[in-house]
Amino acid sequence: MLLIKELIARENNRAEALASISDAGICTTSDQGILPEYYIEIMAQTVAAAFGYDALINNESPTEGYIVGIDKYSLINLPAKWDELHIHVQLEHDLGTVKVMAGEVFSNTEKLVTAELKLWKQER
Amino acid sequence: MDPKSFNEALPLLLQNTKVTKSDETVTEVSAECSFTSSFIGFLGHFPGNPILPAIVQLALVRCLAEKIFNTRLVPKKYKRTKFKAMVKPGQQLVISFQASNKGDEYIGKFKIETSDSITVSTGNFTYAPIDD
Repeated sequence: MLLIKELIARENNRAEALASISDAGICTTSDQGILPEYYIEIMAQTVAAAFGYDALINNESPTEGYIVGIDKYSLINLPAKWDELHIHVQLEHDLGTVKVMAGEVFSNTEKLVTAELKLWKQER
Repeated sequence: MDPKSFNEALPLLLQNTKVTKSDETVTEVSAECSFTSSFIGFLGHFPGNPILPAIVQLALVRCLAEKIFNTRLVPKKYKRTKFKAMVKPGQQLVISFQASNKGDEYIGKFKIETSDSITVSTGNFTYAPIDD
């Protein structure tokens, strides 16, 4: 269920990724458009990609992770068309196996979604 | 043939929908569903360890609300949403929510649990109708 296209930045506690929405996919249909919950998943996958990248550059095997909480989720706008989406995530709190991340999704420069995600990350 | 998108698949999976309360202040609803191993949400999530994605749980609640309120909805807000247990293929789920109509929005809380009363997820939502 890979929904992001590419991790484009990873620095300190931040990461950025791109996602492209096709006409018909697991989260889209031509008549109903994008699954509304899609934005949550691409934020979570951006975090997963960032942690996967960290593992790669450290020559470690990637670990498992899951969404365990969502808070402060706010849908500000829907995309006007199926543009490429830009996802920003930032680590807000590191609670050991639970990471609290702030996420934002943009279409061009327009902010679509903000959220706080709690993700459980397997310890090594 | 199994549906290839969540939009198509999820409404078909809700069974035994019941409105347990409906008055001027609140609507309370429940439904049941389960997912076979061929459900699209398990594909790649994760290889060798199929787990129902959290977003599918959220979408199930929204689909149930759309069925009851007879309108397409989009989640404007989620608060204090927690995912407490994993859902594997074949597990029977009970989805329930209670919601109040505030203007054109529906504000409420949901719970998904297994048929043997293990809490899977809970949370608060605000849904708004989509202009088609």
